[in-house]
Amino acid sequence: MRVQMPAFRRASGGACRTAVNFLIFAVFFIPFYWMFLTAIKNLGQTLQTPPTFWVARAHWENFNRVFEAIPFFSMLKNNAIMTFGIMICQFFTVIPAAYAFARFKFKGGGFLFGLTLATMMIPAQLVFLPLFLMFSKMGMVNSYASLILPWATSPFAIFMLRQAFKQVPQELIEAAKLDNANEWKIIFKLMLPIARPTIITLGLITFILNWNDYFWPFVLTTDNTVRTLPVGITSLNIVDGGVKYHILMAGNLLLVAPVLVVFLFAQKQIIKAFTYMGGK
Amino acid sequence: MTGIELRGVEKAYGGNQPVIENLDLQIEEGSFTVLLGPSGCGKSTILRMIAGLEKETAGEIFINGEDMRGTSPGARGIAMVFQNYALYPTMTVKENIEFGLKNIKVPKAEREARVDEVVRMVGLTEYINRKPQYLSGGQRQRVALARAIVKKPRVFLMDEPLSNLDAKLRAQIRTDLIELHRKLGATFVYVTHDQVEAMSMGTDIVLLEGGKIRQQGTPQSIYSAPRNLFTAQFIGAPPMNVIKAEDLGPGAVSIYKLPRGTASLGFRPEHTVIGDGTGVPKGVDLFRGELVAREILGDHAIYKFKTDLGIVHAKVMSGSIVEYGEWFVGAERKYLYCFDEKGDAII
Ligand SMILES: Nc1ncnc2c1ncn2[C@@H]1O[C@H](COP(=O)(O)OP(=O)(O)OP(=O)(O)O)[C@@H](O)[C@H]1O
Ligand SMILES: [Mg+2]
Repeated sequence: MRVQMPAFRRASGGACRTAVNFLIFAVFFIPFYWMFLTAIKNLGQTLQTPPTFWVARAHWENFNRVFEAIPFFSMLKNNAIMTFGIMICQFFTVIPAAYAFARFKFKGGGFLFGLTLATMMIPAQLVFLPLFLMFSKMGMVNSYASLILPWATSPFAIFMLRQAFKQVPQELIEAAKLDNANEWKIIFKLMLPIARPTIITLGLITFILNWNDYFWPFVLTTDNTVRTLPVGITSLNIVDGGVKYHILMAGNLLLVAPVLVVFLFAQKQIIKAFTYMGGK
Repeated sequence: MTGIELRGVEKAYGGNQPVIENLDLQIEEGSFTVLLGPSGCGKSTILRMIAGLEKETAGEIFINGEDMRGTSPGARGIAMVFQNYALYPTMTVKENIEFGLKNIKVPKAEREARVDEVVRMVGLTEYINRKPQYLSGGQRQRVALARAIVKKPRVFLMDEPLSNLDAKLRAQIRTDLIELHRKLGATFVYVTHDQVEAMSMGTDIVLLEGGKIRQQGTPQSIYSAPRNLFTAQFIGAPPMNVIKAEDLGPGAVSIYKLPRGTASLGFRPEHTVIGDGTGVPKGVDLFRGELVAREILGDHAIYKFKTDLGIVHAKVMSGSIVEYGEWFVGAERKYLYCFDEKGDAII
């Protein structure tokens, strides 16, 4: 039964909630606004104190300066090849591994799964040097392969997807078997559709992490022909003396724009995945 | 002809003690056979072995005379209805129903026709494009049934398919199932722990306890001629009243002229006679009891008496309502069942 609240309390409760909502909105929105604002300021305006929260004339030419300073489109292409390459590789490595760990009992299965999880605890700083040496010995530095292969699978994704597969009731699989479905049918018609929200969310996480990744592409490449956008954007920082925040932010805006677009489209699936994980 | 036959079947999970040992069971073709028994007695295990979802550790299973060893669940000519429906959540009602037909590559035209017919039969025409999560429990149950019917199986296996429904819907689907069974003429094997379901739907009841068959027969024979105490007390609501012969006093067996070896006596609540101690009907032995609870159920009433010999229930079809207080209860001789030390009936 719902208890009827006095009108003023309802109103104050509503106001309070609105305030909290606004606060949360502000926390997430203001950095974006600041980035956008800085991107259309000129150098003088970026250094002004007190800072201004509005500009009368937008300096769109900042974006042109980005294109002049770095090989933007080739880096964008590299970024896309690396990110989608990683996503495709993970699709083919994570799904079978997660499915096997979730559904089949085999000798050493528990040990292998433990080993998979353990790799999550190895810090990147520990492996980047051996990895770089390995790639350079194989002559693979400055290739797309060196950007993609270190991330061709993900223990975190394997773990999450295994949980999603495990949540599918045994009865469903048995019903499918009685319906003459073979293992492939069970995977493609039953398990993958059920795990779809999880797969999309994991794909998105992979996308964001790798799209914005700076460290690995920086370490594993020495040549602009294969360097990715985050590396390029960072290099805007150090062009001919003095930090040009407006150019840097224009570059950043171009970098994160695709992420925002993808996120907007996938929002519904993400919410679904998290409600599903939270015990239905 | 036997529809399903189990010969010397044994089942042990992992390295555990077998839950079913040396089980022989015949299920008549076209019968509505109910596997009945308390929780954990192995009903589901038997059903799942018939379905091929669980492998027997020893013994043989035949369906329509064919040895089922090595035959996959899908190829056994069976359909199963699960307790939690097991509908595919990402498929619509229609896709759920036709999934099995698609997998065996039934041509589209025939598939459509069959799905259409079944959907009409179970009354789901308006819902065929809905996902299961947007259906009520009863509707989901009917989708599960439709999914089984559409395959035209020789055998329907059902594992407590009504246990998630409310009482009213359960009663309704119970009669629907009886109708369906008569219409399709297929063999139904139905698992339940509810004796009312078993009695009302089954043409044949297999009563199980601890992985063993205690009695198999028609509902009438199981009700009127229980072969052991377990059967006597499992069937009927409330269960049969049982009193120990020794509680009647020393030498009771000979005093009351009971069959030799009688260790306990039973009579059904509907045969309980209630009297006020005067004018005892001929051939009735009465003993003192206190009425401690009564349930008035419209056309009949159920009374619970506490006596020196234990609890005695009475089920009275009509007449005046019995008031709380001291009464005499008993039963006519001809309605008495006698059981020996081991609990087997003495006939
Ligand atoms: N997968 C399993 N692994 C181990 N033991 C099992 C398994 N399934 C069932 N058992 C055991 O086998 C016995 C019979 O189980 P079963 O599920 O057949 O009982 P049931 O008669 O269907 O009971 P209920 O009415 O509660 O469903 C039980 O003692 C149970 O603990
Ligand atoms: Mg069961």
